Formats: sequence, structure tokens, C-alpha cells
Amino acid sequence: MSDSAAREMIAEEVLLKAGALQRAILNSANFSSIATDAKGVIQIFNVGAERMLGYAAAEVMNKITPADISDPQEVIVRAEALSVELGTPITPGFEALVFKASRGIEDIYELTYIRKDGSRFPAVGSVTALRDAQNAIIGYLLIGTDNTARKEAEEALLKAGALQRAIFNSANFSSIATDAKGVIQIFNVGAERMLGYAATEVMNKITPADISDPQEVIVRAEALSVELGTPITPGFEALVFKASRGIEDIYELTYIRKDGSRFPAVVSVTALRDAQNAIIGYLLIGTDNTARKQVEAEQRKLDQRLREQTALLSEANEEIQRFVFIVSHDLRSPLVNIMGFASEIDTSRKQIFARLTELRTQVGGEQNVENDNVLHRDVEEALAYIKSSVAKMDRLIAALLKLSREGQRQFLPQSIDMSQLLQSTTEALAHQARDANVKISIEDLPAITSDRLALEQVFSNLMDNAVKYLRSDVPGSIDVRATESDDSITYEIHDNGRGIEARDRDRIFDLFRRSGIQDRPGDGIGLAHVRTLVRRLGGSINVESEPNRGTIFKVTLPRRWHQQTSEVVA
Amino acid sequence: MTEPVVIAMIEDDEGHAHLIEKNLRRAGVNNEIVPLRDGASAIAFLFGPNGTGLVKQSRHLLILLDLNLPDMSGIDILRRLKENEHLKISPVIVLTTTDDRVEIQRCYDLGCNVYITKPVDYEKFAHAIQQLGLFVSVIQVPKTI
Repeated sequence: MSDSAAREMIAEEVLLKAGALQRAILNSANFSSIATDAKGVIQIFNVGAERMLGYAAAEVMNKITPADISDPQEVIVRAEALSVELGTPITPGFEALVFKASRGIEDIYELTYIRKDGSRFPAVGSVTALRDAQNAIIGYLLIGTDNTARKEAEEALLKAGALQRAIFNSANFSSIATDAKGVIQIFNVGAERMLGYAATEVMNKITPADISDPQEVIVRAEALSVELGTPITPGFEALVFKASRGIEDIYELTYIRKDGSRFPAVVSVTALRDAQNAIIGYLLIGTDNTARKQVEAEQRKLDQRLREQTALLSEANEEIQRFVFIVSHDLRSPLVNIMGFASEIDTSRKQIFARLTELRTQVGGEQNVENDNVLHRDVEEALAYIKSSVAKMDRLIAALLKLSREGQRQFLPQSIDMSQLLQSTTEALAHQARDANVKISIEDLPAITSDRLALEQVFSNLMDNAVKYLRSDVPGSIDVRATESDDSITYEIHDNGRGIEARDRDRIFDLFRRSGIQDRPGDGIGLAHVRTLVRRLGGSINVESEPNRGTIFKVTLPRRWHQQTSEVVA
Repeated sequence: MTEPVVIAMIEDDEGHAHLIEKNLRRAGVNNEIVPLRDGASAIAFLFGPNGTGLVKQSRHLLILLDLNLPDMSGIDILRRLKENEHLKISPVIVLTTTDDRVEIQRCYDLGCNVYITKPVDYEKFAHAIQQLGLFVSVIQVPKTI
């Protein structure tokens, strides 16, 4: 057995004696484990070292020392610093790397390693002296971790502007930087505050996937697999895959705190790259989305309530429409009988009294003629009341039917020249207007997009009323004008008529209610009809009036009628 | 009318039935009028116990139909009549209080021959029925198949 073989065996033995953790480190691809002899010549060069440094073990074993793969300038600086610190001259070479360990001083330091291809990376090295049974040093073990991610993250953040620095230092943003594999390297104060972990509890230990809702990570992995057409592991990969492909990625995710509680976060992911553009880690900046989520949930609840209320309302509305429709028809049926049989009785009445007169003539009697005439008139009068009441009842039912139909009719919005519409309404009233000696003037009115038939009914009712309820002692005057706002138009009909008492100004819009002296024909239907239509058109109607001076009806309508602007209030 | 035409009057309101018959008679209609007070008895009369309508084969039948019946809609009776191979040829006159445009349209779509609204005004009502009576007395009613 050669000297070097013996040393190697001893080194391995030592390592074997060490616990599982050390074994794991030696076998890990994430740690470079380099064992040397006492002179520094490399004896063991593990898989992690091969991966990080780019050398095959055979290329370095028994050939070079760790100083040969370290930044020479740094080795010189370190040798000088140690010489000063320990008060003894230390050679800038392998000695500088292991001197402290050789003196039994624990030694962990940062160093730049140089790869086979000449590229460099920052490493954190831990050095231990290997000793034989007599406690003589037989070699050294240098365990290194690639410090690139942390270094680069720190540098990237330093390079980034004041805003990013502020974010990074802010307690309101959780900034988590990881290495390329996802292992957390930086965990800022905001992350500590939000997640309840101290940085030391997570750094080099877990990945952000470990503090995310596992179910969400799975769902996200599946969704991304589908979206990007490539299988994505439900783990850290799912959190950064897009960022790793250079796709901007901001998403919502539930973070889980140390105490197990959860909160919704909005996370923005950036890949950290080295000078060669290779990914060396990721930066995940998260904000607590709880407040926004709560607002959104509240909003959804309100929306839902509104939808339910609207549905209830339109259901109730439909029910009323059906009710009115059915009742109107079923009320009509008995009226046909009352009217029919009253008329039949009227026919019989004529026959009976004719027969009475005939019989009286036959017996030549003259007594009680006056009584018979009174009786005749009474029956005639009673039947006349029955018939006129039935006729009125029929008109009222017809009005109910009309209202119910208007409530169901589909509106057809179109652009309407309102000046023209009012003009033709006025022409239809020309006869009454002449009789009432009224002057009607219509200003230039803004056009509107609405239902023509409905507007014709609204304004012909209002104009008809204006003409109908003028005063007889002054010449009538009716003006139609309009005022506009951004999204609505108010059309005003001014008259100098008899006016409406204050107490009646609400009643006039009720069905079958009328105001003032009842000296004009009408059933109290017009304004109820008008209000129903205006409301369905998404508008409103108001009245201003002064008894014996005049009345102004103001109809405010949306410039453009849409389906959803009405119905609810109909 | 050379052939004896039977008038099936499907009308749930006894008063209406009475007024209709009275005015038809005034117009000189002497045909047999079979009053049917609800949907079930109308179906039984027209379609027979086996429901095929064969019971009315080779008859001259004219049907007066009210739409608002207590047990079923007159629309359903109309549909069944016009779908039945024996009865579909018989004229159906809808006589009802409903003057809803949609309802009228639907009746004609289903194949009703005449649609008449009962007016509340009795003069108009009597006039309408008597005109109908005149009409009934002159139209040719085909034999059911």
C-alpha cells in the first residue's frame, strides 16, 4: 500500500466514523467535499466538487492542491490577513487555506473557486484537519458550498435601484431569494414578519414550496403543464417555471406561516442570472393579499345579494303581471253576465210594462197609473245604474290589462327625434287645442335613444292632460323644453292651467286616482300608465305645480336606453 | 243546411252559455246545441270513451270553444282537435273574453277557424253572437272523416 493510498484510507475511515450527516454531505452533489493529504495534495474529490468545479476527480487527485483552484489574489490577501491576525508569516498558498484548521481553530470562510473552464464562483468553505490516532495531522477536509445564489441575489439587489432596495428592506414585502434549486438563501425582514419564521430557520433548509399551500402548488403544476405543454413537478419548479423560461410571472398563492395559519399572497418571481445568463437562483417578492381578498369576498357577497334581490324582484314583478292578466280576464267573465242579463231584464221590463198597459186598457181601469209609471222609472233607473257601473268596471279592467301588457312589452331602443315626436303628438291634439284656445310651442329638443311607442304614449298623455286641464279664464299656453346632463335628458312640459294641489301631487300617479274638480272625462289611468312606462325606461317623472298658475311635468330619461337600466324598477 | 249540424258549445260559464244560445236562437239557428261545461266532458263528448274521435265519424260538427275553462286550457282542446285525424276538419270557433294578441295568434296557429272576443257591452255581445248565428246558418260544415 502506497503512502497516499494509506492516507486516503485513513481519511475515508475518519469520514466513515463521522455521522450520517457528514456522509450525506460527502455524497451530496450540492457540497464540494475535497480531502487532501497533509501537504494539500487532493486525495478525494467528490461528485459535488466535480459538478461545481468542472474537473473529473482523476484530473485533480494526486496532482494539485485546493489553492490551485482558488483565486490566487484572494489567497494572497488571506495569507497576509492571517499573518497579521496570528502574528506568524503564512505562505500565500495551501497553507493560507488550512492554517487555522491546522491550529485547531474552527474555520469557515468565503473564497472564490475557479472552475476548469476558468469561470469563477463564490464558495463558502469549511475546513477541518484530519488526524490519525496519535493526533498527528494527516490531511484536511474542505467542504464548500456554492454561494453564487446568495451572492448574486445580494448583488442583484444592490445593483437594483432604490425602489427595489426599499422593497427588499421593507417589512411589507416578503423577499425570498433562493438558489437555482429553490433552497432559500435570503429571507428578508418582511418575509420573517409575514411568515413567522426567523431567517435562520429557513435559510439553506427549505424552499418556498414548503411554505406554500401544497394543494395549490399541485393545481398550479397541473395548469402550467397543460399551458406550457411540458410536465412540471408539483413543487418549487411549479412556482418558478415561468420565470425560469423568461416569462413574467405574478400569481396568487396561499402562504402557510410557521404557526400553520394561512394568508393569500401575490407573488412576483424573477430569475437571478449570472454574467453568462445562467440561472443561479430566484427572487420571490410577495405581498400580503388578505385585505384585497377580503374586499373582493365582500364585493362578491354584495354582488350575489344584489343578483338575488334582482331575481326576487323581477320574479315578483312577473308574478304581479301574471296576476293582473289572469284577474283581468276572470273579472270580465261575470261582467258579461251582469251586463247580459241586465239587458235581458231591460228587454223583459219593456215587454212587462207594455203588457201592463195593454191589460189596463182591456179592463178600462185608470187607477194607480202614476204608481205604475214610478215603478217603471225605478226599474229603468236601477238597470241603467247597473249597466253604467258594469261599463265603468269594464273600462277599469281594460286599463289594468293595458298596464299589465305595457309592463311586459319588450322595448325596442332607437334614435328618436323628440321635437318631431312632440310635434306629431301636438297635431293629434289639434282639435282639442283649437277648442281650448291654446298656444303650444315646442323648443328644439335633444334626440334620445329609447322606445318610440313608449315615449309616444308618455308624451301624448302629458300633452293631453295639459290641454285638458287648462283654465277657462285665460288663454292657454303650453311650452315644451329640455335640459341635458351627461347621461340623461329632462323634458319639461310647462302649462298655465289650473294646477294641482300639493296634497294631490303624489296621488295623481296612482291608478284610478284623479285630482281637482272632476269636470273632465277620465278614469285616473293616464299618469299611472306614464309613470310605469317612464320607470321601465329607466327614468323618473316629477311634477311642480301652483294651483291656478300652472304645472310643470319633468320627465328625466337616460340618453341611451339599455335592457338592464330598467326592469328592476318596472 | 241540408245536413243536421251539431253545435258543440264548450263554455264553463252557465250564464254565458245561456246568453250565447239565446242569441243564436234569435238569429234563427235551430240546430242541436250540446252544452259542455268543462274540458273533461268536452273531451269525452268529442273523442269518445276510447279517446280516438272515431265516435264522431261522419258527423257534421261545429265547435264553439271558450279558452278559460276550469279544468284545462281551451288551447289544449283546440290542439287535440286539430291533431285528431277524424276531428281536424270540423270548424272551431273560439269564443272567449281574452283579447290578448298573443293568444289570438296562437289559436290561429293551431288551426282555429274563427276567433271572436266576447264584449262586455251586451249590445255588441248580442250583435256578435247573432252575426255568428247568421254565419253558422249559411256555412257548409264538412263531414268528419
